[in-house]
Amino acid sequence: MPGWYNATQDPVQQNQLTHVGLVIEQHPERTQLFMQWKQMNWSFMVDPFNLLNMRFVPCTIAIDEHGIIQAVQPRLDRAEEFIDLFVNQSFDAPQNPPPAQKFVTQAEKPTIQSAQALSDYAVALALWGDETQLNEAITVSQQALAIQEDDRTHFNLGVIYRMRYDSAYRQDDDFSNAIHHWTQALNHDPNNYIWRRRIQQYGPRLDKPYPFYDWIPTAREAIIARGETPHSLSIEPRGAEFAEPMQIFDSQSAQDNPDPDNRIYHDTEPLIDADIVVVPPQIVAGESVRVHITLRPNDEAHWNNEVDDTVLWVNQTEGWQADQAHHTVPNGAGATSDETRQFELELRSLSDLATGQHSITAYSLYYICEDVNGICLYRRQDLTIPIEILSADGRKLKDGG
Amino acid sequence: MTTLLDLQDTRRGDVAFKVGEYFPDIVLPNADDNSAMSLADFHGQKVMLHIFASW
Repeated sequence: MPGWYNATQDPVQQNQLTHVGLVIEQHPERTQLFMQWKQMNWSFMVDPFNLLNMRFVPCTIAIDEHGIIQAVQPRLDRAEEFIDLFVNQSFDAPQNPPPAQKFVTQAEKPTIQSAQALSDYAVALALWGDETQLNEAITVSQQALAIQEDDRTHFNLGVIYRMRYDSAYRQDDDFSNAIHHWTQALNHDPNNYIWRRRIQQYGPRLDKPYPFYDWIPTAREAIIARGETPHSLSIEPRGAEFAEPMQIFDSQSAQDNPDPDNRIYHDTEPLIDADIVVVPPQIVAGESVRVHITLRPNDEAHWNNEVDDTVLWVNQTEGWQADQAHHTVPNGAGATSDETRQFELELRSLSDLATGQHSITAYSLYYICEDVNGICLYRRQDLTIPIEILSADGRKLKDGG
Repeated sequence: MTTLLDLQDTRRGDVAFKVGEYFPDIVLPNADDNSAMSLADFHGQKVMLHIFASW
């Protein structure tokens, strides 16, 4: 997009041309930071649901003064020539214009309980409503899926689950449900690049085409150097969203198991709620997954920050390699805190692994305090990472091949 | 004589939009203030619409 911005500054300044953006991202505010960095002051719409059913991005479309499409994907290498023709050509208004395709985006409760009407209503609630309406959006989207199962409804439901995960109304399984429905969407249409990218954003490095948001630190530095304040992000990208792609799985060995004999008392209550999301949840032997483990103190507990960092250890499991066995998350600010702590790790299955459900075990060690003036404890919590290995034939069936 | 159609990149043909048709009537939130925004707001202007993601 910066290429078009640079190539069209004159006609834009002379009011011969207007740029408009439409951003297909789960977190569109990241694009506001990108635009600030590139000093592109276009208005843009946000479409985390991909309502226009784009199968790839970026896509540039030239639209005349009557709203008619005059070119799709004009060549950037001939931008000057294209813009000169486009701004200087007069386009006649169509005599008998065909009706434009409409997309429902207004939150009106449907009178007809069709899958389409319900799905549209769910999307509208999520797009135009506030966070309190995400519960209803999920319920309505599930009703749509019960009537008709397709890739779009699965994808939309995944987007809404992830929205709730990022909201104050987060529920434990929201992220794993988002991954599940995005995976279902991709199974229905394996050639949809947008469906695939949304999973890859959180997926393993072997399956990443590029680091999605590695530009953010550079952008912030450049914006600050200009004397501006970077656009703030309510949801910071992390882990997989920054990770560099890799071609060969890199497994670090010779790390020390911090509790090999299982002597640390277990957090039996538990005071820490653990949530495990595997992306993707199903693979073929030889492929890898990215595992997101979230630890959150329950209402009666908080982290003790005056001691060691929180640790995650991944047990060696036959048939599997971990990128690292030992992971840490630093303590929060202050003596105590109750923030969410997240680990991300990658596991690769060996190519001769049997099909079926596999479990990789891990455990976390943490310092936790009960209640405000309660006892502080050092505790261990065992964790199980579930991954399903599909046969190559099973994958083909899921991919529609 | 070169036309606009000659200056299109045809390598990726998997696009739902066709030259000569209206761009779909879609209303979406404006990134700045979440207000309703549509291409109809730009009627009378020549528009380059960029559908993209920052990744």
